[in-house]
Amino acid sequence: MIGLVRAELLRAWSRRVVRVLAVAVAISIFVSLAIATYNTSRHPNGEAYETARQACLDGQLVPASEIPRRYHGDLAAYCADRIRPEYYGASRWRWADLPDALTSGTSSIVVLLGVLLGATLAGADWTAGTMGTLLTWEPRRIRVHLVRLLVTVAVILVFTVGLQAFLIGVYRVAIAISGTTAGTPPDMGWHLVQIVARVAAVAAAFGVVAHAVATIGRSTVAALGVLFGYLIVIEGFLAGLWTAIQPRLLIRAAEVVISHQPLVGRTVVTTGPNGDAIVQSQEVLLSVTGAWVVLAAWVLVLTAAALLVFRARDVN
Amino acid sequence: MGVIEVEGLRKEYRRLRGGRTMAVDGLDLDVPEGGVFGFLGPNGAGKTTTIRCLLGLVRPGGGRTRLLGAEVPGRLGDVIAGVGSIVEQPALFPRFSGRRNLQILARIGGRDEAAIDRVLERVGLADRARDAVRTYSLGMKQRLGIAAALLKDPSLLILDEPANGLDPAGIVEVRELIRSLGDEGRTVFVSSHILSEVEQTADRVAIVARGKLITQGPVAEVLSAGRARGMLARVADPVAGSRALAEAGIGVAVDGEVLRIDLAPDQGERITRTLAERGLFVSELRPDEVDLETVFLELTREEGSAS
Repeated sequence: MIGLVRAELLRAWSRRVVRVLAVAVAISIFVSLAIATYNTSRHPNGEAYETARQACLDGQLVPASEIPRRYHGDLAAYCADRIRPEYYGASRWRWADLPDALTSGTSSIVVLLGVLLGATLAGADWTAGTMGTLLTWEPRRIRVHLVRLLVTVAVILVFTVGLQAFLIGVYRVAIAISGTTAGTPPDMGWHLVQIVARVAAVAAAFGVVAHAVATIGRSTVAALGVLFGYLIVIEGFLAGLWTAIQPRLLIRAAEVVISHQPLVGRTVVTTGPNGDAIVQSQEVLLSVTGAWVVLAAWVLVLTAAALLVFRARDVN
Repeated sequence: MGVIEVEGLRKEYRRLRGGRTMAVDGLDLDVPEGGVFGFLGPNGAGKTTTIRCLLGLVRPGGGRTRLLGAEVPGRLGDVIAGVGSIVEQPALFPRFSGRRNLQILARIGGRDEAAIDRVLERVGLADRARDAVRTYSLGMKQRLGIAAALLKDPSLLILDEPANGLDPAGIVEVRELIRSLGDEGRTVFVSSHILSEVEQTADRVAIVARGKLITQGPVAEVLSAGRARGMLARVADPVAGSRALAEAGIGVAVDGEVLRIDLAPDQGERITRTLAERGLFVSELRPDEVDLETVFLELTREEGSAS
């Protein structure tokens, strides 16, 4: 058993695609952050901003009499709203923005990498025809499948946690060069750890699903085609057509787990005694716990199906 | 107890467009321990399917299979460490080096680097071990497959068409390797449709056709089973010679310019005397030796016409 695990780890590590993906993503993270850092730091134009702000305060932008009503004649408030630092290239990286960047920005790419790894680690043996060779060394198929699955999950977790850690590290460098830690919540570190763990877990879950589809279809390419076709076309279609099905969909569950925010549906609005609209409640379609359960159900059902197919079908 | 025991093995494949193909049809096989066992049959005879059933890759439709005393597929895991195998073309990761392919397998079997070096040396691939398998010739891949099979230091080797794709020198090398493995006390089960290959290496053979066993036993016995041994004689007038021998009560048939005589080789004197008494002088007299190819063709042809 341990030998099989070691063999699968060596095989996974020997796959060029794993190393290429790791290097490519790391380079793209580094390059994109470097470019952004350069762009935000090359115009240290606090002077231009100050000049514009002063000009506004002097009434050169708009005469005091023409200030919109909502500012109640407060020129300083008007100028603060109209002359913002970011308009003058003074926008800076904010360490406090990183959680949003991880959940909304890079999480989909990380999950996608999980899918690619899951599909390729299961499909490669079928594509190369080496499954027969492997089974002549370890014919207990359930054991083989579970070990391969375990190794796939381990590789995806290491890979996705590593990439996110790298992203955080490079982001931290960018903050040091041209950013600010102002407004950072006190529990930022723990918050980041939770986000990284949730994204990695979802990537692993999607990887297991891809692994199962590749095992059933006996092909990496077929697995990716089927999975992306399902996730993008079918789930998109179902979500648009039938709201009630949304809590059962894989992508919705992933979104809820990663964002740690429940999926809400219709907003229930009632009218108050003065005729004002009062938001009473929002219908929760999928809670965070429910999303974990949905993800787990997908993983378990597809793993069981793959296991049954792998155990029963001939290997030619 | 044989190292491979097969009773009534059946395997049927469903065709994509309906219908079924019986690949193995009630096959019985008994392979004793030690030596080289040739598993002969024409293409499509069910050899590879039988091997796949033995290795648990294919689920039989019926029958009973035992390998090294263990029921297959149920207990195959208990004995697989003692079974090295190649099924058809050795399947290896083309982008990995030969050594890396073996390292992966060695980890499963708990073998060390020294074992890898030994088998690479034995199959003559030590110099190319660090090159990607995709750069190997077909013969090198075949040798790497044999190296992988030997990596377990198995007591039973199952080799499916191991000489496929090899050049003449490679075929000789593989033949010598198989023979030496058999001489070491291992059991080598070699399937092939190349009769000369089996005839020169095997101690025992089984011949299959259309998924059924035609015959099995020591090579010499199988050869004699194909046709009664006799003598071939050449005389100037074969028809007259045939008549003379028939009158003397000797079974004979004219086969072109030679007489095919149903007498054992030690009865040559009786033949020459009988013919000489009628004024017919023998220009050539030799045993009617039957090679495995003839037996194979006759037996498989008979099986085909019978079915």
